[in-house]
Amino acid sequence: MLALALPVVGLSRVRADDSVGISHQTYAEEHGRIQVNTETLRIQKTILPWMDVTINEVYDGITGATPTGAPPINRLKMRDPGTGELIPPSSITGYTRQLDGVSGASQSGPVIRAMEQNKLPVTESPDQRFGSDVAIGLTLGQHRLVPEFSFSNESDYRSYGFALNYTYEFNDKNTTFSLGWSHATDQVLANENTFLTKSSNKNTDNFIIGGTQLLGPGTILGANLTLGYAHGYLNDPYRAVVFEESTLDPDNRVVLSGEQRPSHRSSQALYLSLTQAVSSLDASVEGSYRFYHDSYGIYAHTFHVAWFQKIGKSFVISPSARYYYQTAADFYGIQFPGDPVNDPDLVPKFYSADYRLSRLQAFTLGLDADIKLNKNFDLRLGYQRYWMQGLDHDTVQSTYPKANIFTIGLMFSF
Amino acid sequence: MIEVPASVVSLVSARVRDSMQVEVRGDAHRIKCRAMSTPVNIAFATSSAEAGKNLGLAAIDWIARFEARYSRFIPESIVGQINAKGGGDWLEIDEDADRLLSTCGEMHSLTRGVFDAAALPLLRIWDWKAEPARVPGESAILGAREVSGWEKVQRRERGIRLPMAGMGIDLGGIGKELSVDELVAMARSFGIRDVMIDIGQDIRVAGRSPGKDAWYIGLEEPDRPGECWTAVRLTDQAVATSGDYFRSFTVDGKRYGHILDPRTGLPVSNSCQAVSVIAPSCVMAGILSTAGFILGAEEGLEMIRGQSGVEACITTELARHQTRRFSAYVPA
Repeated sequence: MLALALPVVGLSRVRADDSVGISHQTYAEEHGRIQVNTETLRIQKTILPWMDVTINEVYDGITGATPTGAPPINRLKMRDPGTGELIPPSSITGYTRQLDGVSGASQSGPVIRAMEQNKLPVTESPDQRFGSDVAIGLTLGQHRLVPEFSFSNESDYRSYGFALNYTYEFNDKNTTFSLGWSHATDQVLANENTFLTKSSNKNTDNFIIGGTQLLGPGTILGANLTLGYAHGYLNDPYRAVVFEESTLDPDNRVVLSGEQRPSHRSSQALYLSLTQAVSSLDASVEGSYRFYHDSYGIYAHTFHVAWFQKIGKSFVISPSARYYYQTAADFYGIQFPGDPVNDPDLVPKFYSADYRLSRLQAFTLGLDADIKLNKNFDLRLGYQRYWMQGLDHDTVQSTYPKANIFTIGLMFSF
Repeated sequence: MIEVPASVVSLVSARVRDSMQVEVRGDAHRIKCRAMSTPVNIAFATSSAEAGKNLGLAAIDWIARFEARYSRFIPESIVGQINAKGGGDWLEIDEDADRLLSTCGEMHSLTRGVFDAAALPLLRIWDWKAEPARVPGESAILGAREVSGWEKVQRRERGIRLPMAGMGIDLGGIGKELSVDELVAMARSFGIRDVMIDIGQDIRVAGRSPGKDAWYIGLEEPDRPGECWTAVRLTDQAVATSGDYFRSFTVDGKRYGHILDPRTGLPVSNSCQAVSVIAPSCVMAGILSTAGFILGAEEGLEMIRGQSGVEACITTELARHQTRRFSAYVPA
């Protein structure tokens, strides 16, 4: 019985009470960077003794700025494409994305203000995302099958997803075996802020196999392996790169180029978790480790630990800590040789200056509280502090975000 | 017949050539210069270095000659000489000038009279560069209106007469656009299919930009000149934008933009900020964008919807209003 009170581990979709939940989350990066306000409505309902439905409706309001991928001007190493001579950063005034022309009424052209030499270039692209997800749980004895359909829409991105998860409980429910497959077809839509000239597609498949094992009255071991494969347009259409021989426009602004990632990406992730009840303290502790590797050359390790402390009959407080480390993608850099137009021979096959592909570490400290208000209502409050640090000594530290994450949720069970 | 002295053409040509910059990267050619008091940007693709060079030189000479012939700021130009003879006798003009003035008449009719190449007297009394800024008096505006208006201009084949002293014509609202169309035709005559001509942000394209599937033209954000609120994807169209957000003055808390409504003699004040028009020719795009700006969102869009192959977006202080198929040109 104690095991049932422990946090759910692994990928199995366990049938729960009928409920309606709403939640709000604010993810706010410091210094005017990205802020995402998320509103979620979740409805869970048993339709038949063997069938239940879970519906998630999500709205994200996205504002703020994100790094373009270009470094501060004073970090640039630019060469004249004709002579190969170094161009001093002090003579460069900023960056520009190459439109062929601009139709306007200023006639004399835009007023160019020189950008600060040490300022990290950022770009704003406010957006809204609407997401829907419907999962239908079909339970037959020890077997459970959950087909799931999802759709999300942003002004520059559209995603259609399908997933099928199977769970088999046996050994007096002490052992769970899980198998899952998910597929997403995404459309990356072109707009004036992207380097895309026409909308493009990408497809992603993930296969997961895993399970949980009750090792003792208060101990659960969980493990799963995920194999992923994505292909198609895998670039971030907003991310820019700078080449050493990039064109300078008449105002001495560097003309930015779009990044180029491989069009295929395979990944492997192994997840292990152990949950241990601490009966004497009326608490439990969960630790997990995740190993990740992909064909971009990224190796990542994630360590997570959370303590669930029950206080009285209706209050659970859970401090948590998470550490993440990754190596850089093989094609990550802050600047690249040559130029696709001016000197294509020197340009590497793949290139990206997206800081999320750099060698980095990230920390998360969190504190969550679950409060049972009465028989039907549960309140959840959460705060997380998140910060990322670059480890490559090339990418400037101000590229990496620090964020506060606040969550409040209310669930009505019936 | 009115002649423009060769020395004037030479002087203008020399000035334009002095400002000329040429960039060649592979097949991509870009020529920049300054003419008609505005930047000129010519981009095209050709594998023939000879054709590229020849087009560049021919285009620059054509622009310089056009400015020398039709600038109202050059007294020896055709327009300068016509304006000097307000209240005088008939003047004989050549075939090119005759065709240009006929186009002005056609555009006057098409735009319900709001495009008016004979509104120079009104332009003369409004000075957007004056320090301190000043608003002309009512009597000055009335006086200027009495000698303004295309309907007062007398025309006959290869002839023009401004019957009243003080009358004058100004081709500022059509000259750049016509030049853009002519230069695209010139590029085609050189066997160049992929070309963009941009004169003072009035643009026409043919074919596609080197390395792309079309030409991508940003539309300037009126609240932040120099930045774009969207881009349009064009392969054989023109786009022009009219707006008064870049040139205006304020007196006693009232803003006076630089686009005049020839019907009132006053700057347009109808909450329009910018009108962008996509059309088969730059003349059409330019004239309709200016007329749409003067007429305002409702009447302007109604007029534009009546034109074949024309789409538009009107930005007002409150909203953007588009014709039905404008969004088809926005990459998505």
